[in-house]
Amino acid sequence: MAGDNAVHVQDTGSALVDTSDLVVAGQDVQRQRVVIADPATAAGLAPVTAKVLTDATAGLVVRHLAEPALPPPDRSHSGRVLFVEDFRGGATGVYNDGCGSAHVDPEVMFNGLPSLRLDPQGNSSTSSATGGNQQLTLGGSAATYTVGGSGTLVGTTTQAGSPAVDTGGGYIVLNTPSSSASWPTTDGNSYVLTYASAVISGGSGAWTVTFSGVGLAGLPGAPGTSVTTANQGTAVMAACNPNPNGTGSPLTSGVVAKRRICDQFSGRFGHAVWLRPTSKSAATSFTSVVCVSLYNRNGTAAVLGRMMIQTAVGMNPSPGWNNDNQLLWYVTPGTPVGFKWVPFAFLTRAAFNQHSYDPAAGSWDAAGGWHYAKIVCDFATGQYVSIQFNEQVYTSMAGVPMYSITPDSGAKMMHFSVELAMAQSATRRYWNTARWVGTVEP
Amino acid sequence: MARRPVNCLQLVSVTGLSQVTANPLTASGQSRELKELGNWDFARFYLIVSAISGSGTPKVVFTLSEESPADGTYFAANPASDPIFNATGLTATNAVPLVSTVDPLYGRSYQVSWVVTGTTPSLTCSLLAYGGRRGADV
Repeated sequence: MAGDNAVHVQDTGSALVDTSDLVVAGQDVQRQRVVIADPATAAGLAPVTAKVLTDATAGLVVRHLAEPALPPPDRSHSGRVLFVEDFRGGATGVYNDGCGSAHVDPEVMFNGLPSLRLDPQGNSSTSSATGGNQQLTLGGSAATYTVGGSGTLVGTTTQAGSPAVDTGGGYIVLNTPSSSASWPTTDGNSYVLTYASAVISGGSGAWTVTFSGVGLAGLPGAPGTSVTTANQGTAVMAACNPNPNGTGSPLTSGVVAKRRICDQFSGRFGHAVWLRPTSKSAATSFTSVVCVSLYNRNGTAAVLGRMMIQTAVGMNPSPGWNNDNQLLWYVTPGTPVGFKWVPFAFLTRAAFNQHSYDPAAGSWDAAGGWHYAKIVCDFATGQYVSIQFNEQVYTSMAGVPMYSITPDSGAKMMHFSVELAMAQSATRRYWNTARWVGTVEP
Repeated sequence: MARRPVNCLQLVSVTGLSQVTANPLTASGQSRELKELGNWDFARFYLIVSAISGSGTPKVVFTLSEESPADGTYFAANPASDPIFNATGLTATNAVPLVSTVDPLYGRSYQVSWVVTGTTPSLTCSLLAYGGRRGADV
């Protein structure tokens, strides 16, 4: 009975008794419900529910435990570590498949450990490092191009042979030099144009290339949403691949520092490195062709994912560093030379080629400025996944085929490499890399 | 304590995987800069002259040079009374390696150069440096 101050003890075999102690109007009371299967409200209790916590209400940060952050120093957003090459000790598992030297460098330290210096030692990649590029003089009349636009652009050349232009569409780079008299754009900034088709006319010594369907490539970091050409007849443009470029395969006339593991094209892998231009003027004139590559071979074919950093891209106005900007590229199959480098981002807001370490040339900055690069490729599908440079992960190349070579009889191994070629110059320049991390990616 | 051999006759234009150990030296030349040695505490050099052809007493004189950190140039720094790096040079084959030890290695980088003389000379040589660092690999 209610209010009898007694606790009814359950009688075996009889009805079930459930007693609750609570305060009602300042009085301790006990209420009972007879059948445990009764709802909690049977004894006059409010139902108890679990509260769903959200970020906003509880200040929580959601972390995905399946992909923990890699151990520092690392800027990666994903991956499980397969190996780390941090170049401690006098030798390393990385080896130079090319010319010059890739040696452990105790003068340029990173994270308390030596780095790896890539030094072509003056060996020049003169002829092969311009693959697929066509330099043209800006012709026609001044015109404005916008993202999604479809204009016409004319280029000329006095070379003897027919221009090597992909008539089925491609890219044109308008790179502004330091002299305003040679700017191909009115605002002095560099831009990338896309075109849908090209027609080559003329003959030896007087070629004209007419590009159609020309618009502005809306790349991340691009300095504007429209560009107007200038200095027709004197300014130049680079059609198709950049000049110079890393060609489709790594240039063994430069340094090809690599680490290998074996894998039967099982899935996604990542290759992350830190790098810095070390020697004086290592990147100012874009003679240093530096690439980060991840590729595999199956005995009959090679599949390569590669990124390249085009340095010394002109921007105006720029606070004292007109040429210290970059354009990032990845390589995919293309015509007319079998591979096509595709631009995917401008970098204009962080220094690149500053603080050199080159004592013989009077530069003593051992700290330098390190950049982070990570390329992720899916070898099961033969496609790119993403490319990270410093803080930014780019995915515009996701699903794009990696460059492939068939036939290819190279060893059936997966390569994690960094390459440095000295294109069109025998001037001594070198870069350093540090802490290579190979990963398996989700 | 990591150790590794380095081919002291590798030219700067020769790729790393395709270099041969025994090189026919028919003219004077120099190796790539052996930057690895700059990170070593010691090195031991091994020279084998396996074949000689030509007339007029074919001869090779090896010089070990060290980099000047001030300007990046190389200057001769042969070990004293050394069987490999000396001004006398070599005119005969040898089955047992000639050995030279440089301990410690003080220099930032080293380079090997050679002067070949004679009439249509060819001296097939292998010259390897083997060395590394003492202590822990950090």
